[in-house]
Amino acid sequence: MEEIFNPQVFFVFLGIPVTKTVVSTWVVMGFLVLFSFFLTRRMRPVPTRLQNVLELFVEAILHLVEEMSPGNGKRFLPLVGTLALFIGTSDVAGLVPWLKSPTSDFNTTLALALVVFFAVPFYGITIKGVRNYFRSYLSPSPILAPFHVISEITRTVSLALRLFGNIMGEEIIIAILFLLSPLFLPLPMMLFSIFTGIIQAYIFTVLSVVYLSAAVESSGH
Amino acid sequence: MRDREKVRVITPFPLTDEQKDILYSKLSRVIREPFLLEEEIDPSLIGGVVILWGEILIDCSVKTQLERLKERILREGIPHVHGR
Amino acid sequence: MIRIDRSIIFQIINFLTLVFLLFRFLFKPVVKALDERSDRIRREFEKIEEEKKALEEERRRLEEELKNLKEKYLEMLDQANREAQKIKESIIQEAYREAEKIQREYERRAKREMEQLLLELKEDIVDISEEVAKRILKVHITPEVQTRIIEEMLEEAVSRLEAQLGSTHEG
Repeated sequence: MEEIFNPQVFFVFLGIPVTKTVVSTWVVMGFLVLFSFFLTRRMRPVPTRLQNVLELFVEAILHLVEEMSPGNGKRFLPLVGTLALFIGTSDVAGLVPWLKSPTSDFNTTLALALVVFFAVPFYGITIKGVRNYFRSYLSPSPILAPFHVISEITRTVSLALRLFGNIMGEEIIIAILFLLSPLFLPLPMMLFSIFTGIIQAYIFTVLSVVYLSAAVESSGH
Repeated sequence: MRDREKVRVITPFPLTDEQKDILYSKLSRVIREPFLLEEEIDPSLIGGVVILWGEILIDCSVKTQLERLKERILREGIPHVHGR
Repeated sequence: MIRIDRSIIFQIINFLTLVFLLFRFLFKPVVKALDERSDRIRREFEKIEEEKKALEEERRRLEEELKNLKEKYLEMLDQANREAQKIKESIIQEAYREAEKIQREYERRAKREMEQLLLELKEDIVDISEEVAKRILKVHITPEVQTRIIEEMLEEAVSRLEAQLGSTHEG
């Protein structure tokens, strides 16, 4: 059980521990990058089936962003698309033998939440300008500014904890079921975990889009 | 001596003596020497007399008068006998 | 239970790297392909629109041409009608002239025949008259009348002859 909560450390690189999570992350990254590379190496005017899947995914992300923040689809696409792909793939990666879901490690989910946390002011300032962005903290009243900050911190933590908790829970359940009945019980649970994993990826992605679009919307003007 | 002049006289019917006298007396005014009348009958003349003396012809026949009248009528139309 | 260690830095770097790599190998090419496709579709659409416009233009031109041809045709028809009318009138006039000529010719001939007939009639009348006159005269000329005729007519003839002869003798 200890291993589930505290992933084993393979080696320490520049004083940073390279855990099983990090290695699994690299595997997921490698898979995604290679997959993308081979699929997009020759984009055809008339798409193949896999290319079509990629295009459908990209269009879905663009649509999602455009609905909440019109005009920013292409701007948010790399971050939002990568979040969806990485989280979705990571959630499912736990089912592969010798791999650990990177999202079942709080370090990973917090890292992702922090990226979103910093992406919010980054895009806000880039699109609205420094003054306009920070002015939004003073609305509707300057008194509420600290609450805005607290809200941003708590929602980041909740984002990280929600994903971590769900995936972690899945893995614990699967591990326990595996111990009880190695042959039959874990399989339906594994299929179910694919479903919840994708749901969690969707939730994380949609919430990120909500936070980003709130940061860039030009309300009060 | 020459023969006596012969004058042919043609009439529709025979001349009476009186008529012969008239002829003599009239012709002798033109013919200055003694002459002989040779009478000839031609009923187609109707009336009047035709006299042949050498080259001279005196036509006083009614037939000729009628023919002249006829020609004149054919040429000029019927004359108005009683005037207008 | 939940431990936050420095591997979080790795994960942040990993994620940002993944963002970059996926941007480079996934999103950029796919978006490019999508844009190109929509561009191409728009261009196709514009081309179709243009072709439609060209066809419309062509159609209008043909209609115009058709209208012109129709007008020309009507004009030609009109002209032909007018010419036919003219020819018709001239033929009728010619016929009238011809008819008049024939009429005059007939009138002339009829008049001449009438005159001829009249002349013949006159001649016949005169002939008959002469004949009648001859017969009447034959009955009415008695020796006394004969004598008077001879006397008067001969007197005249002789006088004339006398004058003639006298003038020749003197000349």
